[in-house]
Order: sequence, then C-alpha cells, then structure tokens
Amino acid sequence: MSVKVDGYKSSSIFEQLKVNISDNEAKKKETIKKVNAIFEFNVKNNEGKEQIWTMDLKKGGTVQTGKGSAKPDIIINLTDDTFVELASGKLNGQKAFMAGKLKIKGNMMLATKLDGVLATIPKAKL
Amino acid sequence: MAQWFPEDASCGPVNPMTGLMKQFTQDSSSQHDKFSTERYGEGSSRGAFRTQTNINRQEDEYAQKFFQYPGQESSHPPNLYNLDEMSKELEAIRHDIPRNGDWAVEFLKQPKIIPNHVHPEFEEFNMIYKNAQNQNNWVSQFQQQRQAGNIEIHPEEITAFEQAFEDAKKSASWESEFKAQEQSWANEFKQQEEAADAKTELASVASKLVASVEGETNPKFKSSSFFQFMKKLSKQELSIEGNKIVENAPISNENWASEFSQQQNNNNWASEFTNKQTNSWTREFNENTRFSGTTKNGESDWATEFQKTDNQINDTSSTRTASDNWVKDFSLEKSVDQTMEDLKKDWENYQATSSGYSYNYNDYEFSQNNPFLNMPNLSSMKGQNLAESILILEAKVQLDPNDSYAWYQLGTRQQENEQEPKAIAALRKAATLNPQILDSWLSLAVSYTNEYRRDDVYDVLESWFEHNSKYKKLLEQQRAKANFVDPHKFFTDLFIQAALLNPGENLDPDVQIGLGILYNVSEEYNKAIDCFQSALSLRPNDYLLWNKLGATMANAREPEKAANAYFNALEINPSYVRARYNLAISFINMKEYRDAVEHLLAALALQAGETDGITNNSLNVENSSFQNITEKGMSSNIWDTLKMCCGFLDRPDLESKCDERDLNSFKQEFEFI
Repeated sequence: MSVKVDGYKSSSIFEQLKVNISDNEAKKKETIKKVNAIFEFNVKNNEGKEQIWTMDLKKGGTVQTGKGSAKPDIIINLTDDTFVELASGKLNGQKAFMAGKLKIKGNMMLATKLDGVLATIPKAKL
Repeated sequence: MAQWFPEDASCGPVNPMTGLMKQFTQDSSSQHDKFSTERYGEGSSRGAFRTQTNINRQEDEYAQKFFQYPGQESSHPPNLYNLDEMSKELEAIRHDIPRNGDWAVEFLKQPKIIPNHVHPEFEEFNMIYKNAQNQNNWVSQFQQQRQAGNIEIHPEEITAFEQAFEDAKKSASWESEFKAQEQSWANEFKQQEEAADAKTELASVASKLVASVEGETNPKFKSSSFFQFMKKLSKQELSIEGNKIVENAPISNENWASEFSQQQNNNNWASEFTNKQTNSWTREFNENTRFSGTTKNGESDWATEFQKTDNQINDTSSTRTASDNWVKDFSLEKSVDQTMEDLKKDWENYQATSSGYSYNYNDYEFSQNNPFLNMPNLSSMKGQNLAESILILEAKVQLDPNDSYAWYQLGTRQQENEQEPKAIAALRKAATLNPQILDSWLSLAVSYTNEYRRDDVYDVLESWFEHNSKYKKLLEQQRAKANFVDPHKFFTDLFIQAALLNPGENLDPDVQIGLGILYNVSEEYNKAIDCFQSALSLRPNDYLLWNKLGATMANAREPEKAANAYFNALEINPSYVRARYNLAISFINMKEYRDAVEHLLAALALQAGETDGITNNSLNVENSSFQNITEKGMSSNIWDTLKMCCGFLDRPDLESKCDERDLNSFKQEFEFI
C-alpha cells in the first residue's frame, strides 16, 4: 500500500522510509529495538492543507497515512518543507524545534531520536 | 508592582488610591505612555487614560493583596470598595476609547516587548536534549539543581555529600562485579538449558520416528530392539550424553537392557563408534541397508529389509553387529543435532518467504530469455560489461548447475552489481557445491553483513575457518577453550590469533578482510578501516577491497574520505555498480544531490548494460531487445535512492520518472554515460 499523497514533498520521503523499514526484516527488528515508539507527523503543505502520517517503530514497524490504531507516543506538527530539510539532513531536530519549526506533543524525549528515525539515506555497502 | 506593598502596608488605612497615584507618577515607563498619548491623542483623553491605568493597577493590587494576606480583608477601610467614582470615570473612558486609536495600538504592542522572555518549552526541550546526550545524566541533573538555588548547601553538607558520592562510586564497582557474576551465572544456566534442550530435541526426533512407523502392523517390527530404543528415547526414559546412552528411569524391558549392556561392553562397537561419529545418519543408514542387502541377496525395500535384519539379530552375529551399528549411529547426538539445525534453518527460510518481507536466498532467479544460452562458444566468452558477463555466467550455471566456480563468480559479480539477494543465492550454491572455494565464504560474510544478518555472518566465517587448512587448528583450539556465548568475541579472538600467525609484512589479507567484516558488524568502524587498509597494502589493485574501505569510512561518517576510496575502486573497474551507488550515497551525505543523481543514473545505466549506445557486438541481437532483458537487472534500491534525491532537488517531475523506471528521460538533463 502506497503512502503517497499528492501535493506533499514529504510524501516521497515517507515512501522511502517505508521501503527502508519493511524491506529488510533484520534491519526492522534492530530499528524497533532502538527507537521503540510510535511517531505521528502532522504535515502542513504550502497550500495550508494538513496530512497525517504515522510511523510505528514500536510493534509493527510500519509507515501509513492517517492515524494509526495505537496511540502515538509523540505527535509532531511541522511544515512540508521542514520535513524535507529534516530528512535530507539539512536541519536537525533540535535546531528545528528551537527555531519553532516543529511543535511537539507527547514524550519530548523521543524528539531527540527524530534524526535517527528520519535518516532515509541508505547505508553504504561493503 | 511588588515593591508597592510594604509602603502600602505602612500607610495603613489611608485610601490606597493616593499612594498609588504617587507611585504611578514615579513610574517612568508609564510616563512614556502618557507622553505618547499626549502627543498623538486629544487633550481630553489625558485624564481618562491616567485614571484607567490607575484602576487597572488598583485592581491588580487588590488581587495581589488578597492572595498574599488572606484573612486581612477586614482591615481594609470601608471606602475601599466605593466604586462610584470609578464607574463614572469608566463611563468617560468608554466614550474616549474609539478616538484613542493610536494609544490602543501602542498599548496592544506593549506585551510583546517583554524583555528576556524565554518560552518555558524551549528550556525544557533544551534540558532534555542535553540530558539525552550527556551520559552523566545524574551529574548534570545535580548541577542544575544547584544552579537553581533551591537548596542551600552548607560546607559540611558538601563534604558529607562528597563522602557519600565516593561511597557510591565504590558501590558502583561492586555493582559491576555483581553484574559480571550474574552474567557468568546466566551463562551457566543457559548452557544447562541448552543441554536440556538437546535432550528434548532428541526425544522429539525419536517420537516423530516412532509416530511415522506407528502404522506398521508387523508385530516383529514393533518388538524390534531398535523400535523399543526409539520409543524410550521419545519418552525420555533414555537420553544420550556425549558418547554414552544414559538411562533416565528404571527400564521395564529387562531383555533389552541386558542386550544394551552387552552392546556397551563390545569393544568393536566403541572403536567403530568413534570412527563414524562424523558421518551423517543417512549415509550410515544407506550403507547399512546395502550391507544387509548383500547378506540377504539384494532386497531393496526398507521395511522388509529391516524386518529381515531384525530376524537375524538373534541368529548371526555378523548381521547383528551391522544392525547394532545402525542403531548407534542413528542415535549419535551430533548427527541428530545436525539434522535439527538444518531443519530449523529450512524453517526459518520458509518463514521469511511466507511473510513476504525477506528474500528467499535459496533460489537464484535467472534472467528470462538469456541470449547466451544458445551460444556455442560460451566457455570462452567474458562479456564486454558487467551486465553481459552476468548473463554469460548465468547461462554457464544453467547449462552446468554443478559448476561451483561459475556460481562463485556469478555471486561476486552480483555483489558488484548491487544485487545482494542474487549474490547470496549464487554464493550459497558455490559454497555448498565446493566448500573449498574459501572466498565464497568470505563473500557470503560480506553479503550477510550488508543484509544485517549477523548470525549468518558468524556461521559463514566459521565455515571459512573449517575449510581453511591454515587456520583449521585455531578454530578447534578456540572451540575447546572458549564458550560460544558471545559469538562476536569468539570470532574476533579467532581472527586476531590467525593474524598473529603471520605478523608484519607476511600478513594474510583474507584474515584482515574477515576481521574488517566483523568490526563492521559490531560497528567498530575505525578498527575495520585499519584492517582493510592493511589488506590493501598487499592488494592495491583489489577494487572490491577499495569499496569495502570506502563503505566503512562512509559508515564512520566520513563521506569525503569514503568518496576517495570509491574513486580508487572505480579507476580500477569503471563498471563497478556498487562503488558508484556508494559514491552517490556519500554525495547525498555531503548534500551534493546533483552529483548523487548523476552517479545513481550511471549505476542504473551500467546495470541495464548500456555502453555508449552502441550495439553490443558480442551478441547478434539488437540493442533494444538486449536492453529488455537487462533492464530487469536494475536494482530497485538504486531507483528508490534516486527518487529520494529528486525529492531533495525539489523535482516531482523526475520523481514520477523514477516510478516509471524511465532512464531515458533523464538523459536530456544529466550526463551519466
């Protein structure tokens, strides 16, 4: 199932995150062990529309559009552009928060894991 | 505002309005307000403005007083709540406000210019972030508390505290000691548990066997000693420990027991037992059937054969030994364990495929319509590029599936081609067909590392040692002295010992590579870099090795150094797809997205077998149809990365081209061939 939503640049990043997570069972287990949380992203695009994506890195290891079945541990409100900057490594989670570019509800500790979660850039191979 | 209170309290029952008026005229910031209103507002508004401010202050003051001195309300003068005058003033304000636009605007601006205001959320976040980064959480928390100044610490308290801290440190070392102790207990327990597991596993195998022959109606078979033996094993009345069969419960069948003890006294058996320990049960069984077959004039049916052998047990001693051998060999713990392990692995593979997440590494998926299958001079062909050489090798192994060296070559070429699952499948075939191709074990270790399959990495490295005549002894020594609880330590120790056998300039690059792989698994990248560099000093032209070095550097977050290593690899072998892909990843990490896109496109073009758009001469097929075959050879992970890059470049039009796998539409804008 695709997690693509038209009109969002973040959309393709979520798609990539989904591939990264579900592509490799062993890697998925490792990520879940490290992060162990459900992230809900409320992304606002340039037209002012809002879209929710949920990343479950606690049990299922899934990425989906809309809210998940379980309660998220952290809800992050941000713009489409900020999300792209975070995922491409131009901006880190703390800077974005200090600049007021993202608003957080829930367990704030998890925001410190955000950079690792959004690291879409694949690992180099031997 | 707080400084007004002491004065007010000393003023006693005087109307606080007057005191306030005094204070107010001294307040310079309010005067600023006054002046600005005077300048821009109308004259008549002045009185109204000042009174209004007074009312606000007065109200505030009352509120504060109320909260600070509860129960003192009674002391207030009676005229305190006489608001007649105030309401009159308010009336006036209401009329004036609309005309005081300027003042209103300025007043609204006022609260925003509060100096030094920090949002509490920021501070909290900052603190959490620092704490998360700071390993000495407790220390920082302690410092923060001291800074907050909530606690006054006297000098003697500080010394007492420091004393306590020292004590705590001592107890911490005690704690770690305790932990180590606990660990060893846990290990011991685990080993015991494993032993117990082995017993139950054995029992379950035996019970399966019993169940499978349950349908056998022949009474002779049922009363046969083998069958009884298996039944006992399944009920765990018997178990096998090392080389001995141990009775767990009183044995009901006395006949069998005596027979059993006879067998144990048989010296022939003991020697035979040790000889055949390494043989697998099936082969032993087959031999046995053949053996009994010859004695009984070549009958082949297993059931009848068994029956016949059983008949003879009490008669001829020769057949009896044969049958006994068979019983014992079957019960060899090692062979049973081996079978169980194989079964478990098969089961795991099956699970992985049924869930649809992982690849099935067992079956190599060949390209469809491979034109090289019909080539007469296949063995002499090399292929002009990576895509072609892969097709040639695929054709070779399709025509001769037992060509282990071709499988090995195919495996490494698929690694070069950034096709890990195919590489694993091919290398597995090579290693099974001929375990003596040591490099296929090492290459498998590389692939498993890339696929995050740690346990498999250890397995294949063990096989590498097992089949390596130089280091086999070390493995046996290591097995004897170290337990296998921490496989990573087990194998790093082993590799280091192997490296010490040939120190200095005589070092074995393969050992260094193996060690480098292990350090990649444990993410000790700097050690891994050292290993690969020393291997490179002996094999400077090994492009695979340059890429390994680069990838390790990239994972150690040094993309610039990594890129240099990749460039070395690509200089030796320009069609090395994996190095190009890795190079692109490094460019992404350096935020050079356009360069990254170009290298990704180049990698895809190589996979598709495009060479300057010229028709492939080694084949008499048209370029377009050749590409139809090889296009399927493009890795989806490269396309995915490319798509992500297009996203970073803010090019949704190109992203959709990635979904369509349309390489040609990139040609207008990017140079990559």
